[in-house]
Amino acid sequence: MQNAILVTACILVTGFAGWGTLLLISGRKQFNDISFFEKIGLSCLFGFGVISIQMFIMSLFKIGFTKFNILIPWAVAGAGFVLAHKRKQIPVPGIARERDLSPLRGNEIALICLIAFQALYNFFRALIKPIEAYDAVAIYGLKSKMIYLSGTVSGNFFQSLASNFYGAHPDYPLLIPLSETWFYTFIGKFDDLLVKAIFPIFYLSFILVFYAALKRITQSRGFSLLFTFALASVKQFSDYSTISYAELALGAYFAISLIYLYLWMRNRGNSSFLNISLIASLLCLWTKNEGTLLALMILFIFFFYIAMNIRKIGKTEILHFLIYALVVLVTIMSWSAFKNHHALVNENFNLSMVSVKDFIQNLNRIPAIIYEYQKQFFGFKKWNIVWILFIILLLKERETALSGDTKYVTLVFFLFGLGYALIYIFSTVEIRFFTQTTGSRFLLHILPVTIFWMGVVANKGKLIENL
Amino acid sequence: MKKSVIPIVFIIWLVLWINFIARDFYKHGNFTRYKILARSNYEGKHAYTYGKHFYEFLKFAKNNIPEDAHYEFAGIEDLSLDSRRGIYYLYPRLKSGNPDYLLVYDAVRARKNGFKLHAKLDERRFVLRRH
Repeated sequence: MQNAILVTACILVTGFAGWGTLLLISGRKQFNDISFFEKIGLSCLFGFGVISIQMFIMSLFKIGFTKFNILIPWAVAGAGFVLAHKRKQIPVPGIARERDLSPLRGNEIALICLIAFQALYNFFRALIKPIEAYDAVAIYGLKSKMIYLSGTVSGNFFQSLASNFYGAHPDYPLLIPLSETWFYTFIGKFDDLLVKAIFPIFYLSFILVFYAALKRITQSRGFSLLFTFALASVKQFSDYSTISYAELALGAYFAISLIYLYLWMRNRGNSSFLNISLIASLLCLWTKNEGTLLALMILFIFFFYIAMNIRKIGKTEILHFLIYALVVLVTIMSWSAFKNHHALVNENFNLSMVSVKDFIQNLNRIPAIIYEYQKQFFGFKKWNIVWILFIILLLKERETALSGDTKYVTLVFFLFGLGYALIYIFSTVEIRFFTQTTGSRFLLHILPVTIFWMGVVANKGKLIENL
Repeated sequence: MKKSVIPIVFIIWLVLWINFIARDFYKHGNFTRYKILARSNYEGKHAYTYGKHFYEFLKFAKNNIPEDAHYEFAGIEDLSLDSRRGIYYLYPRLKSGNPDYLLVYDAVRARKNGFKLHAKLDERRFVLRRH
C-alpha cells in the first residue's frame, strides 16, 4: 500500500512538472485548448523529460540529487504561478475546451475496455518482475544505479562507464537512466521492481495523447478509439512497455513531434502545437542516439513544408521554422560537443564510419536489410497485421497519402527507411547480427507514426464510417 | 478498400490479439510463472527472475566482498545475460581484468594462481581472494 502511494505520488509530481512545462510553452489561452487526456498524457511524458534534463544540468553545476533540490524550482514556479493568478484574478488554466459529452456507444465502451485491459496487463507484467532484460540491466538500469548511489552524474561517470562496463554505451543520452534515478530519489530507496512502473506510464500517457490527437483530426470518438486500440494492442509495442527499454519512449516522443507538427500545418495559428512538437523533438535527442536522426527527419519535413508553401506562408511561419531549426541544431551540437569532450564514441555507428568508399563497399548489405524488414512485416506474432495493412493502404490510398498536408507525414516513411538503412550500411557490426538484434526494435520507433498515418488516411479516404 | 472489409479486418486483428495474449499465458508457461511471482516478495521475485541458484550466488558474493572490490567471474560467460545481471546486481563492486576476487560459479576447476579460498557457498559456488 505504501509502495502504491509512493509510486502514485511520484507520477503526480512528475506530471505536475510536465503540466507546468506544457502551460509555459502553450500560453494560457492555447493551454485551455488542449484536451484533458492530452494534458494528462503530455504532462507525464514531458514531466520525465524535463526532470531528467534538470537533473543533468544540476549535475553540471555539481548540485546533488535530493528530492528537495530537484523539486524546489517546481515548487517555487508553482507557487509563483498561483500567486500571480490570484492577484490578477485570472482563473487558473483548467479544462475549458469544449468536451464531447455525448454518451458512449456500445462499440466505444468495448474499445475502451479492450484498451484498459491491455494497459492493466502491461502494468501487471512490468511490476511482477524486477529490471532483468539485457539492455535494461546492461545499460539503463546500471547507469541509474550508478547515478543514484553517487547522488549525481559525477565527473568521472562517463569515463567509469567506458572503462569498466563494456557495452554500457556511455555515449547514450540519459533520459531513461535519469528518470529511473529520479524515481529512486523520490521514493527514497533503490527499488528496481517499482521503478518499472515508469514504462507502462509512458505507454498509457502516449495512448492518451495519440487518442486525443487523432480525435482532433477525425472528430470521431469511435474512429480514434479504434486506431488507439490498434496501437495499444500491437504485441511488440505493449511488450516494450514492460521491459525497461528506451524504444517505446523514443517512438512516443518521435510520434508526438511529428503529429503536432502536422496539427500545426493544419492550424498554423496555434503555436502551442509547434512548441509541443519542438519539445518532443528535443526529448527524442535526449532518449537515444537514434533520436538525433529522428529529430533531423522532423526538421527536414518542416523544411520541406516551408519550401513547398513558400508563397502561401508569411514571415511568421518562416521565423517559427528558423527558431525550431536553431533550437534542434544547437541542442544536437551541444550534446555532440559534450560527447567529444568526454571522448564518448558509439562503437556500433558513428560519423567516422561514413564515407563514399564504405557506402559502395557495403551496398551488398541491402538484401540482408530488406530480408529483415520483410521478416518483420510478416511477423504476425510481434506486429499483428499492422504492416500488411499499412502496405495495402499505401498502395490503395496513394493519392490521399500524397495529397495535402498528409504528404508530409507520408514523407517520414521514406526518410525513416533511408536513414535507418544507411545506419546498417555504414555500421561496422556484422549485418545479419545487427539487423536481427535491432530490426524489430527500430521498427517500434516508427510504429506509432504509422498507425497515426493509417488513421489519417483512412479518415480522409472515408474508409470507415458510422463509428 | 470496400467498407465491408473493415469489420473483417477488425475481427482478424482481434482474433490474432487474443491468440497472442492466450499463447503468452499458456504456451510459454507464463501463467505458472506469474502465479509464483505474484506470491513472492521483493527478494523472491529477484531470485525467481534471475534463477534461484544464480541469485543465491550473487547475494552470497555481495555479502562476502567489500563494496570497493574489483572482481572477475569464473564460470559465467562474458557478455551473457547472467554476466550482465551479475555486474548490475553487484555494483558498486566492479568487474575488472585485474581482480582482487574471483567469483566462481558452477566451475569446480576454476582455481587460479595467486588466489586462495575466501568464502564458500558450496562445492561449485565460492569466492577466491588474491593473496
